[in-house]
Amino acid sequence: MRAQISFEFFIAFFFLLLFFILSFIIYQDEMQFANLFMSAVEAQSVASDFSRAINGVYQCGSGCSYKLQLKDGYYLAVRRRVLEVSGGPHVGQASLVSDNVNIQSATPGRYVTVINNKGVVELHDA
Amino acid sequence: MRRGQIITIDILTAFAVFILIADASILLWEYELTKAGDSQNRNIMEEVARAASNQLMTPGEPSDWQLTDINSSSLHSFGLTSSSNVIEWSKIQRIGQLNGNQGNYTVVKSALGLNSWEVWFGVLYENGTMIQSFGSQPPTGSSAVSIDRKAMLNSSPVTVRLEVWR
Repeated sequence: MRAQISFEFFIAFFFLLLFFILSFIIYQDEMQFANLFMSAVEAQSVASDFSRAINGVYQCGSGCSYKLQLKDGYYLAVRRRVLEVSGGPHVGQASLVSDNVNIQSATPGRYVTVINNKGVVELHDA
Repeated sequence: MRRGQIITIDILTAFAVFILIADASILLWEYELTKAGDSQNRNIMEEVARAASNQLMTPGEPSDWQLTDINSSSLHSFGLTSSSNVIEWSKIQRIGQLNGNQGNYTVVKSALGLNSWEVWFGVLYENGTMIQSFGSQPPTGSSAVSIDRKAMLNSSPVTVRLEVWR
């Protein structure tokens, strides 16, 4: 009688253990997906902040400037009218309204000045 | 034996309930992530539309782009005005000529910073009469962002309407 109870219990316990292992795998998978998503959101957020500053300064006209901080671990690059922000596994992209954008220096973690110099938007460390 | 069966049934019942809760949590998690992704895409689209509508209210670069052939290297930025909020008639005429050509459409939307989006814009009188438009309007049911800007054209108030979608 005791053996029957134990056997049933072990079958249930086996399924429970199996479920826990599967749950853990699914949880890890979901966590990885969520982290990738958050990383993409973060990179996109940096790209949006800088594209907003660049577009605003360009549209404002020569002499306009803006200062904002580039988050640590992120790097800026401009390809034609697209601002690319790389950092972590993702690249954030944001559109620019002009191709007259020149990144002179933008060190991660430091403040960056975005300035319109006679129609050319220049970025350099503040 | 009876006690043993009860314990096993208890475990299996708890197990089934736990599976249901865990499945529901995973489904909710994925739904929320999808919703957050959609929301982020919408925000990005609103932002690029706002930047493009601001850009339309500039002269563009070169400011006399309407007098030349446009291509991706000659047109640094696109705009319709001659001065602050004053639409230039010759630019309106020029977009009428450029409309309908896929190459021109690509150059103009790129110059508005809308590489990854589709765009339509038009200049309308206050009563809704269309003066000139560029591009094709978003398909019915698409999630488009529409921005209206007020401007002057030949001393008449007009609306510059821009629609962006994907």
